[in-house]
Amino acid sequence: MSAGIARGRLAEERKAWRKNHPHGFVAKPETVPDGTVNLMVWHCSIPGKTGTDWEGGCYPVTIHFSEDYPSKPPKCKFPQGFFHPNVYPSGTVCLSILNEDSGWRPAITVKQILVGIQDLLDQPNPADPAQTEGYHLFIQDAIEYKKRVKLQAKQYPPLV
Amino acid sequence: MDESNEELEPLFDYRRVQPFNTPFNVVCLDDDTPDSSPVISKKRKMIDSTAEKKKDKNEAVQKIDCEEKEEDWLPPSPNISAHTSNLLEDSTIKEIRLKKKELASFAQSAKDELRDVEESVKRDLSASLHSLQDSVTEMPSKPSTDRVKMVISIQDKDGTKQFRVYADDKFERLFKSFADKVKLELQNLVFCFDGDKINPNATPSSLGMEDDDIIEVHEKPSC
Amino acid sequence: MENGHEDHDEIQIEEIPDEFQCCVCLELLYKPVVLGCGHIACFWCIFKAMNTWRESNCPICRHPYHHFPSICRLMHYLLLKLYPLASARRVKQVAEEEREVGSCSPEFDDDLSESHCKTDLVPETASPHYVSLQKCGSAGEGNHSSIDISLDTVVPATSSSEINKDAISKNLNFADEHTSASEKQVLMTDLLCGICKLLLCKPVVLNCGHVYCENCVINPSDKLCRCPVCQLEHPNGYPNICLILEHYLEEQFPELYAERKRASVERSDCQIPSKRNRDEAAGCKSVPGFDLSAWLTGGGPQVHFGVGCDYCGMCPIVGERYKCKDCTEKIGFDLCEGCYKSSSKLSGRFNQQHTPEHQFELIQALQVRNVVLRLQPERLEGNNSDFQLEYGVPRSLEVRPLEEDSSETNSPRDDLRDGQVGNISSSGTGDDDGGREYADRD
Repeated sequence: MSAGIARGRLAEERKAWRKNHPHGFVAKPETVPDGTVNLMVWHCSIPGKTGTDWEGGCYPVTIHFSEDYPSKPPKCKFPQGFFHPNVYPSGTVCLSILNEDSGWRPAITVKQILVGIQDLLDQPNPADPAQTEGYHLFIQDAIEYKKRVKLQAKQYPPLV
Repeated sequence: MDESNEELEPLFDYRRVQPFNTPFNVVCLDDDTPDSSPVISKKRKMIDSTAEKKKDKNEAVQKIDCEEKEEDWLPPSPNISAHTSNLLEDSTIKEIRLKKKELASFAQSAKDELRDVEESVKRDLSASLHSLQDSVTEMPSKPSTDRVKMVISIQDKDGTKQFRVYADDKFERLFKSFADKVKLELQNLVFCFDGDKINPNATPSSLGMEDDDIIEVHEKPSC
Repeated sequence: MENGHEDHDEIQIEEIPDEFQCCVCLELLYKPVVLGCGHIACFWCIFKAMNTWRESNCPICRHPYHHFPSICRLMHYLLLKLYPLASARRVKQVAEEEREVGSCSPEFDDDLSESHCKTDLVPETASPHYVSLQKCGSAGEGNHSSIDISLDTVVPATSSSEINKDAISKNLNFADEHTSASEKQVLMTDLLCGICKLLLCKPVVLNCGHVYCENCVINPSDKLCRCPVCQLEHPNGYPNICLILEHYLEEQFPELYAERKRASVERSDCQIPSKRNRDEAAGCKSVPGFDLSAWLTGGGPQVHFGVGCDYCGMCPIVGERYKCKDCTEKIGFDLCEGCYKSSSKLSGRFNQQHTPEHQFELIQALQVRNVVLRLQPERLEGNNSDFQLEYGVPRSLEVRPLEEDSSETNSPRDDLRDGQVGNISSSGTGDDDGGREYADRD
């Protein structure tokens, strides 16, 4: 079926986002070089929560929507090699609400996804490791893990 | 940033499944343009709930002041002065004035209707032409002032404040009045729109901003 | 910035409160469908989100369901009345989408108020209500009577020029009071229970789209509830209260609703089914249980993937499938065994021009042996379009290829009946509990 609702829904989401979104978050559809807007790819930025080791970083996330959105979840990616137990080496985020077979529901919005990922940053789920390095440090070496997280926060400074 | 999290919506929208009673109140922000339909954002309702009142079309227009200091830098709308002076006058004059206003509003609504007809006919003709549509739909916001006004919200980590600005006015002024309001030094504040820092010389229209858009303000770390 | 025009057509339309926004397309609900869990979405939004291989999940709470419910006409007309401008826009928008796709959603081309009373009230007493509705419509509203007339033409609206004309007349009428005027148009007679003829109380929407008070339609001695108007059974246990509709009733008729609720509490002491009864009822489905593993081993009933029943909405059809030989629509017309054998005569789900004279043929489902012969087992997980071609299975409901994700997020589908159990890849936030959001019955 060609006439999916993905674009219409994304336009609505964007409209809602412009009027109201959590502080510090950025989410905007990609602008391609010729100036037109591609609603199917959004560039976002998630601030680390205050009071956690992630504070001070603004972590870039790219969300790729398919034509089946919102029946199917979008794919969310941090930069390649992002340090986190539940992020695959490619940067793809492993999160239940982004999995079609477990937690995804079409009612979940971009805002909820981003807030969900922000929560995941500080509360990794050791039951579902996606990368060896982050997982092993998280399980075995809390001090080194903390150090790496803080280092990474500096690596992604906020714009201001 | 902790505080800001409190006002985030829960990950799942429980209002869809749980009792949720919000009367459909109408917040009237901009009464000097009677034809613009009031726009409500949820956020605004929360913040300004104290100032919130129902719009009553019969009453001489009520001004709800979301921003007490707002008029410092915007000319007060004529309706306000009429309203306040009403209180001081005796009933006959008051009545005459009301009549006059009523007539004026009739004239205005007739004008509006005419314009509506004109517009809808135009729209009918050019339904598929976006370019035409654009020029038509811009019209409603113009009649009362020649300059387009819009509402811009500035969000810091504690919440949002709303400002009414001219679309072609430099941000400089808005930023200054915000800094005065929150009693912070302007040079310590950074304003962003969609993740990009705003140049004080830019204007809302030059950034393609729309009514109700949010600007975020960040405090520079004090060092 | 992006698309300067994205807001423009919105300028003249009403502000839509969140509860009447479809959670899937985020626009005004259009031709709303209410699932058994009480959640609402647009006809096409639900349809497109359905799973063609197994039970589907509610887009809001993931509550599983096997039947595509019919459109809830009561809510459809309510929304048309409340938001005529936004509805007109949606009518146009959806008509365009349907033209592109080549399938139609059901049309209700009958007169607004009349049809509603006829369809949702049990027939013999329909006329008195209809009369009273007309009366208050014209007496109580004076200058708004013109609006009522113009509204009637919105429903069949097919040509775009007609819609535009409507929008114009409404622009005029609502020029100075379009919020209050639209509120007034909703009368109590629009929101009556078809059984007790009183204002709906704890409204439940059955699979057939009809709305009743919970107390009226649920009979605890009977495990299944059956619609008194169309005689269709509501599958999958008792329906949940549609909370959005209930909130609307509470807001619109605060005193009356409170009184109705009080009265129902007294009655319900003896009537309302206990939690245990409810669970039992939920376990007793009207559909033969379907288990993919049984299908894979060749046992169990046949399953017609991607094909839905046009009467009860069961999708995929489990058991025998009867296909109409005379319907020419691309989407086809199919019935499940139960509906084929029942005497009910309804129109199709997609506005097919099916008539009782049409002939049916029995269609055999794909046999697992054949599938295994021709397909690698993995390909079953992949794209099923191959067997669309090989077997010439006519499409009835859209067949979507199963997810082809990257190897990273792929999870084995060991339990296809319940997505919750197949929770293989991560659950990070602790927010993954879809169950906690199931529509709560107070």
